[in-house]
Amino acid sequence: MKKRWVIWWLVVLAGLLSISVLAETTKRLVFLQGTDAETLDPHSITSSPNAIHILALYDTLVRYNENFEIVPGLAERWEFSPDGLTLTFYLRQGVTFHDGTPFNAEAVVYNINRLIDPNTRVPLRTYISFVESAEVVDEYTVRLKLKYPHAPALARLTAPVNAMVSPTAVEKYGQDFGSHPVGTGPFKFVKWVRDDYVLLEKNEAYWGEGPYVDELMIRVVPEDGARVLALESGEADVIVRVPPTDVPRIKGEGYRIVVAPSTRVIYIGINNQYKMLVDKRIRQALNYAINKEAIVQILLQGYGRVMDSPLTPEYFAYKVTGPYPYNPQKAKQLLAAAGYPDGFKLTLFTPHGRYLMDYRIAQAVQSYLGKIGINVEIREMEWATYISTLLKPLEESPLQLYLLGWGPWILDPDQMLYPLFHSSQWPPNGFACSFYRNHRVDELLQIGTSSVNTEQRRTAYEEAQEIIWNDAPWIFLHQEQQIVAMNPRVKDVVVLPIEVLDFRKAKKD
Amino acid sequence: MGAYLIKRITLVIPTLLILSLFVFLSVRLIPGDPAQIIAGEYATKETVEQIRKQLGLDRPLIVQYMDFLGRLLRGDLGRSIRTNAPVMTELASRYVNTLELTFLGMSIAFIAGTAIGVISAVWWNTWVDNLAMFGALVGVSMPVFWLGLLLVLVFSVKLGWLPSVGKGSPAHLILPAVTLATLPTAIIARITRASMLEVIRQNYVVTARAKGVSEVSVILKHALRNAAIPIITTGGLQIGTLLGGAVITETVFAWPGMGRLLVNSILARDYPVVQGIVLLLAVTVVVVNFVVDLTYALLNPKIHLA
Repeated sequence: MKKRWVIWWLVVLAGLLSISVLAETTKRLVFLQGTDAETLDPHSITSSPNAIHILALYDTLVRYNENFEIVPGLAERWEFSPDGLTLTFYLRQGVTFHDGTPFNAEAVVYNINRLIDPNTRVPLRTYISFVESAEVVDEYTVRLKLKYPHAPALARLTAPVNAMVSPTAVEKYGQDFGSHPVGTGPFKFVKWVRDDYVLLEKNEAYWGEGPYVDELMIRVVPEDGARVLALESGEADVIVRVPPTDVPRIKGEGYRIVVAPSTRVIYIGINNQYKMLVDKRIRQALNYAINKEAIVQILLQGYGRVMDSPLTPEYFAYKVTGPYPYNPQKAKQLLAAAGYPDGFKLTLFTPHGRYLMDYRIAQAVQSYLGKIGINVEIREMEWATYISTLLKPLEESPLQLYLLGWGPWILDPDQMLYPLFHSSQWPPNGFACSFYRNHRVDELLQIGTSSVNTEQRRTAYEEAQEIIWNDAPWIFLHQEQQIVAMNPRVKDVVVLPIEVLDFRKAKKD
Repeated sequence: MGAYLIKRITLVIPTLLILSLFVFLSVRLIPGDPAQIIAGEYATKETVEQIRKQLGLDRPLIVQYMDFLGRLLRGDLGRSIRTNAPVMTELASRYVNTLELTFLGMSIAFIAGTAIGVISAVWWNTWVDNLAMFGALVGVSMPVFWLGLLLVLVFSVKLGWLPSVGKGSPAHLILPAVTLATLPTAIIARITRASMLEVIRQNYVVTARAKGVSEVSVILKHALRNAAIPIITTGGLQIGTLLGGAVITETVFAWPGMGRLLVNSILARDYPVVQGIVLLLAVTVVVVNFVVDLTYALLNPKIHLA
């Protein structure tokens, strides 16, 4: 009896071994990141790590290429009507979803309707909210009616949240579509083991270039150090968020390090309506008092870029307006001119662990401001509590200084400047927690959001950048960089500035 | 026995009810709004309102609680706020993973801990004892995080013997289980030693030796069996801790278990999932305690379960 049991055990073992041998022959690319997908339904996603799954499974009508230009996706070309209120898309023909459903105008209209329907759970609706309705013109032509002329419309449609899902599959799975994703993308869904991995396989019928690997495994490894070790042990091909201190070692071992800009900027918001902070000279003094170069060099090991404008160079209409060089002397003069030669006390709110080195940065700011006589008390907050605190209306807001990051999914100034500096966006309506108000800036940002004339937008944004920089509603710190490490056998993984990796053309020797 | 079981179960029901109310309220009392967290920084006020409504969080608390209880009685824990997947789906795979890891970790801890403790007691006050107790002290005080990464560095990166992250093959279990087992092994070793030292001096042990029973038999049958109750009690408590508190081990080894899910759910204010986990863990701990009690009766005929 016992003997038979042993034999069975051996048979099972042999089976497992042969499966693992078979697995070796398929070309699998293993990518590690810190958090799992929340859903595989693009319309419900909320985060960049989740957008990586989405861009592997789905396509958008238009998308960004590696040079951050908008290029055709599922739409081959498009045109705006002269009044800027209609946007017509001419779709790629012969594309099918993974379940065989044809991709056509009807499918696009279905998707747009799902996205704008208030009953669908679309947390990132801000990327579609400019659309009034969609209609089928013919089999491969769709017309979007916009609520107002909106130049960043195309940029917004590149956002992964606006990816096209299979209408048949949505009808079939309903609420559970997020666990049974069906798109047109380079990879098809195989399996999702929650908090462990999402396994995808090559879509042989993909309409575009690629994919070149048979399988893409997106694995969750929360700990930064553990991801590095997994790369070194050969269990992973590509990893993100490499700790800067590990970079020299990994490089020395022959792994490839890719340092790419991120759209995310880190700043200290200033409550522009709080007592002495109403005075522009004091806000400028805060900017002069901090050695941002040192923060980037020491705390981030050089992996960051000191801000020299409210925008970063990846954006349309970016204009250098700064920087605020480190000059404690000038800061003190400005404080004295504003009537505070002996300084004052402020509270700085900060999350801990949300952004790279956030708490250490807050401590550095505290010490720099101490040097010009401003006594800063740091209040650390857990993220969910922090968000609720930030979103309190002015009368209830405890904010004086607060550390925050902002990393939009599109490279249009509209998504960067309007939500943070337009006075209509003060909490609780939006996220302009610095309670900044400048009527000229409001006007300029309004032109930027509604004009479809590129030159007019450019001049408006250039002027807005100048004014905002000079008004100093924030202490402008730095732009983050993404550090990605990969096995040298892996090629052509595109690191997009929205902190998303695009694997459609990835190769593995 | 049957009466005892019924008594235990009837006691469990009010416990779980009170616990459900406690969890329900406590997750809602901490500041933070799940709708706002889902919507993120980019959302407009309307979007947040829409989400709150979809989640049913705009209803009065009492209505929400009644709804929660009603579903619970039907075995439905609702849907996750964060992922929109049924809470059952979220819990199922993680629960199995956690049980797997806890079971293996605790088996290692019981076997190794008891062995070390017995050896220490037998060679009491010799260098063997000192070495073992020093080891136990290191085991108790070693940061799990550091130990885990060290094991990965040696066995995955340098030697290449074992996988470092995730799960899949049985080999994936080894490093996390050993890491997880370290602390309970050390605790069990210390308890075993103390308990054994007490028992070894008892008259019946002396009698057994005098009768000419072999030393191995004296230690394992006469002494260890009588020293077992504190060991089992400590071990049982450790199981409860490991079920929900293996977050660090799960994080280092990317093990998809309940600890990580619990932490992520609390951070996202994912009320239904937090409620589900706490209730499931409570039931598991009740079952473990019950098994521990049964073991007492098996070990010591003087203990009757009634």
